[in-house]
Amino acid sequence: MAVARSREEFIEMFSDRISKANQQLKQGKRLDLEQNLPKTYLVEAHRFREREPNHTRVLKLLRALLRAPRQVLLETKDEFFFAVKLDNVILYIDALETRFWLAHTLDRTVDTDSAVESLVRGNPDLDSAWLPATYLRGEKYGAVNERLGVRFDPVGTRLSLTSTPIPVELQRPTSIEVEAPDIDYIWGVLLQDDKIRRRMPIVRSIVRREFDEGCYARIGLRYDGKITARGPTYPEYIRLVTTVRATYAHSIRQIEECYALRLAEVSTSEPGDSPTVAELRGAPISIEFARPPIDTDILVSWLLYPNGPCRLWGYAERVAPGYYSIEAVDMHSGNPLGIEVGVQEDSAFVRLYLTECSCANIVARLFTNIQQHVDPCAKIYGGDGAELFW
Amino acid sequence: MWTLVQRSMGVMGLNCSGDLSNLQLVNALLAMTFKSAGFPHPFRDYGYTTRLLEPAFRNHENKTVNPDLILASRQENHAIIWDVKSGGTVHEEQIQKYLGCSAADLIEQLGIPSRKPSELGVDSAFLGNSAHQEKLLAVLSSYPSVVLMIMDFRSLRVKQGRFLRSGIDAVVQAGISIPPTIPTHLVPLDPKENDKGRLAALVLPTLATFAVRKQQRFNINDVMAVVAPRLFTRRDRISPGSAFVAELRKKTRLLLVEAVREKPLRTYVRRVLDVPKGSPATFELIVRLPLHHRTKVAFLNAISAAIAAQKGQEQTLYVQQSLFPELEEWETMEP
Repeated sequence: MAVARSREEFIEMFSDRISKANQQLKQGKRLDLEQNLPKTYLVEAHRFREREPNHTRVLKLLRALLRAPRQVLLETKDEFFFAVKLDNVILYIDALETRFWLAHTLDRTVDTDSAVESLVRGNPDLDSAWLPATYLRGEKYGAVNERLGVRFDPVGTRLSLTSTPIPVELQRPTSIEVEAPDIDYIWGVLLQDDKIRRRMPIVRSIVRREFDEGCYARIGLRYDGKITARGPTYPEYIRLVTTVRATYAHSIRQIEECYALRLAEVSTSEPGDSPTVAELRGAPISIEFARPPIDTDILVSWLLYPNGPCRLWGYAERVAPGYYSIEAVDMHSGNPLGIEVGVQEDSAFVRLYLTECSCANIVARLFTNIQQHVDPCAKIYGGDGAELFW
Repeated sequence: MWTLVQRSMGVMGLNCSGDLSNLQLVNALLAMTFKSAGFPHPFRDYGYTTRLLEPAFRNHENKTVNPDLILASRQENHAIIWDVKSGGTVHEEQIQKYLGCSAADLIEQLGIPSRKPSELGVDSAFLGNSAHQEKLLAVLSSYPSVVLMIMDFRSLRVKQGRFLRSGIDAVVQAGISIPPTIPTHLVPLDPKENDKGRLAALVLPTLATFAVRKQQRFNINDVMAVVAPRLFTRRDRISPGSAFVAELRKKTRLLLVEAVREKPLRTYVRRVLDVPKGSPATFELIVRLPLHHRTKVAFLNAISAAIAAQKGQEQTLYVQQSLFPELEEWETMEP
């Protein structure tokens, strides 16, 4: 398999693949085995949150990551652009935006999903971008929705969070893809049903954005940051992909800036007199569940299972019946995190306390997985009342 | 079928039936300035966003004033100097110092925001435990302009005085119902209390941090670098103060040295003794990194057990069997 050794070569290969796949799909044909849709994974490299990164540092990190046999790092002619071979998958990592990388690939989903998963999971310096439901909708990027993929669970979500026994045959959720020109209307009608609204998280979507002079891009978005190119050309595709990345990156940085708790020194008028003044800045973040009843004992065990989707572990202390104070560790980055889980008036909540060193990607990871596995209608807001990921 | 496995019995950390601690009172007061799920936020509704913790400054009578907290609202053009009392002792000198604080002191020395400095309203208030309200009232009743608020696990109510601003005053005079879900993380540790269990809950999880970061060897400075951002600023020289920082470092070292000497942590972490004289206390993870899943689970359990031991509690682990069937192996697992 040929490997591109520069951005230019890569763009040529990617463009060729998009247009061929696009033609095939337009003619209503299925893609051949070697005609996979090209795709991009959004990856967050939080090591570069504060440090001034450069090409060498990114290279050093990638070298440290790829130590297993059958993992090869190939430098290209271009700065911040690397080819990575993971078994039979080639990822092209574009780290020009040094914290939020684009990992492009032309290989088969069945291989690439697991390759990216193993790369990201096995390393405390990388994480996926976790897209909450609002970030799977076209409106966020000036685009229209063409298809929504939802997971329908007939008895509530996989994680019932109640002690009511659920028959095994009903525990398997069903995936449904809805595609229509007026998808938003259909979706709106579906959401009027309470059971559907509370049991159907959006897992993926296809959105289309029109650019100037009849140019457009169609992309598929999945909640774990996977973006699929659905035509027709590379320049529009990458334009839309970078819009998604910029929107996500902005939210993460804003959370870190506005909500990370810290004591800030307040300048005083008499420095010689050594007045000592510290102001508490930042704010807690709250996630409120829409669906009662939730057993917080079970919710805590789900949140803190270190290999679970939230990838947290912690020491949970029951402060009051149904109310827990947790000293957690993000098992992805190792950062500490304060969490509280409780119930008030039948409505469960999770409070998060980020600190200066925290990476806000944990907020996106936690909230997205809560939407996917617990409550699609959960809401998240900051201590100033502003709704997040909105 | 969901099965809740409790391998050991319940943890009742903070006492919900008796007195509120200083830390709980401060956290409750601060929490009321944020919109936070499951807790009232009357001060936030009136724009109290400036939260100065333990400021030390001189009032215009040249006396050093050191309240627990100052809350201020630009919207209301109002500042409240707070003293939090979990006990029943209050000194008249302390009250007089607060009453000697002018708007100019707060604006000029502390940078309290004010849209009209000449009209900034300044109140002094005490927040106390309902169990000690009589003792507090006995002293404070001689100072009717000072507000005394009393809190327990059910409500927050005014016992004496009125705030200068009618909006917040009306809300607190009506009484605020307090749920048991008092936040615990805004100020996670009280520097004045020797709470070894609380310190253990903050410090010992850093062992997991180093394991995740694949850092086999670490010293006390590394531990403080993880814990410190939650407690004080980077420059380490402002409130709660450098003496507190030094004390906390000492306590943290002692805690770690003791914890890794005991079972079950000693299976996973050891103190490194062959370091140059004068070097910070150094520790080493004696498990291979990255951790294998089974070892990871056992190691995390050991950390939980060590925290529980410091708190004098039994360890509780909640495991949903049907959700995580592989965890059933925990029961019999040995590292």
